[in-house]
Amino acid sequence: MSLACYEYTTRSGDSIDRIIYDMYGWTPTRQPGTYKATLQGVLAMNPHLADPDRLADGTILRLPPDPTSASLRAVRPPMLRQQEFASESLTAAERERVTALAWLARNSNWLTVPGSVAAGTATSILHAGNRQLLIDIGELYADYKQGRITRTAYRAQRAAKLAQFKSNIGPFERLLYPKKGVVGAMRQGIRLLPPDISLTEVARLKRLAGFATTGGVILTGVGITAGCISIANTVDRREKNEIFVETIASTTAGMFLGTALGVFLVSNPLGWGTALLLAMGSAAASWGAGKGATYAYDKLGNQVDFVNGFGVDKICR
Amino acid sequence: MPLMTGHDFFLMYMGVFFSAFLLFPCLVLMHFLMPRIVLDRYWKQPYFRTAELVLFTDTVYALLRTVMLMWVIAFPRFGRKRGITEAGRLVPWWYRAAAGLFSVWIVGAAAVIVVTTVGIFIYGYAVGDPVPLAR
Repeated sequence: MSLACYEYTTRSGDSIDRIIYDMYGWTPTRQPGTYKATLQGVLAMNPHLADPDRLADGTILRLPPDPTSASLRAVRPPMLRQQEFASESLTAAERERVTALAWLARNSNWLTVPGSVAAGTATSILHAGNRQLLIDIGELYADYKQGRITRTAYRAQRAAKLAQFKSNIGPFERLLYPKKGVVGAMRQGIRLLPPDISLTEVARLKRLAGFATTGGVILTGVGITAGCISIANTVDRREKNEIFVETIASTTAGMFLGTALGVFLVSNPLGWGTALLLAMGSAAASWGAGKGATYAYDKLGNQVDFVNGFGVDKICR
Repeated sequence: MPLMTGHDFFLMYMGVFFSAFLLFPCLVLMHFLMPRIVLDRYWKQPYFRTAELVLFTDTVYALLRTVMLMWVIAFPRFGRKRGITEAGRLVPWWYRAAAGLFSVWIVGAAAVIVVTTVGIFIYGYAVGDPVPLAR
């Protein structure tokens, strides 16, 4: 079956010149005649382009496979699919989803790396151990009201618990309690801390921790899903393998580093600094290992076909 | 003749990543095989802080508790700061040996990943062909 056209979804920074160069190898200065004929062919196939000099991110372009009967340049066109015009059968809503997925596949690192740091840090500083300190304050108050401890003892122990809580969350206190700090937020205009305010705070922190934990799991899924979408949308086998190697390396490096840091925790207290270090170290190592492994594959191991060997393209279709 | 080719090096590097797929099931196994006596004796204050005891119990982070305890079981001198120096004597020899192997695997793999990744980035800059930071 002869190929009707390629379909290419534009990404940030793309220009029509760049796409024609990547696809066919023509430049307006070196091959002006061929370039002009190709450009006219591309524009004729894409009447929806309002301004070819300004391509919006996610625009679907149709590219003739052989505009001048010359052999195509041996390049690895990203996100090309050898199929009929999928865009013609899509509704507006479906097209928006396709564009969103294409954006996600290309830009997942911008979402997952800072997201992992934020979710990892939030999970650590909002964990049940810190929340327990606030519950303890409520219980201390109950003991005080029932006469089991004196007012002085209650206030001293409450101050110690709050100091421990403030120490554990460190500078993140400004984010969690932007106006009054934790002491001000829990005091609520009275001198002693009622248990119900303590429990309200515990519930709020628990809710935030839940969001952070779920967010971390979702982000891991986002990274793997983005890799799978990219593999499915890539024709070139070598590029499929590069994406696979990057996804595997970044995901497993995070697992190894996170586990190894457990060893570090044996001799170090878990405060806000450790929480931030854990999250940042894990995210940076994951990202760097993904890039490094892809580079190593490109230079040293590109004969290996992991995607075919592990049957990945049967899953990511 | 070189000891290994670049291709061999790449396969070994990827082998470290792929070994992570064995890591999780092994860690779960070691978690459930952890002798109760170690937890009863050391998984409490003052050896660990309240926050750590709560965070690393009955959550997905509980596996990190096993990693921490395996490390001090295999290498007691690393537990001096917390006063956990006798944990290795409380477990059977096979668990101590497995804990040692597992700990070396985790720390070794993490070190190999970090060192090799940093090395690849440095190599790229040194030869004027830096690792591309965007796909």
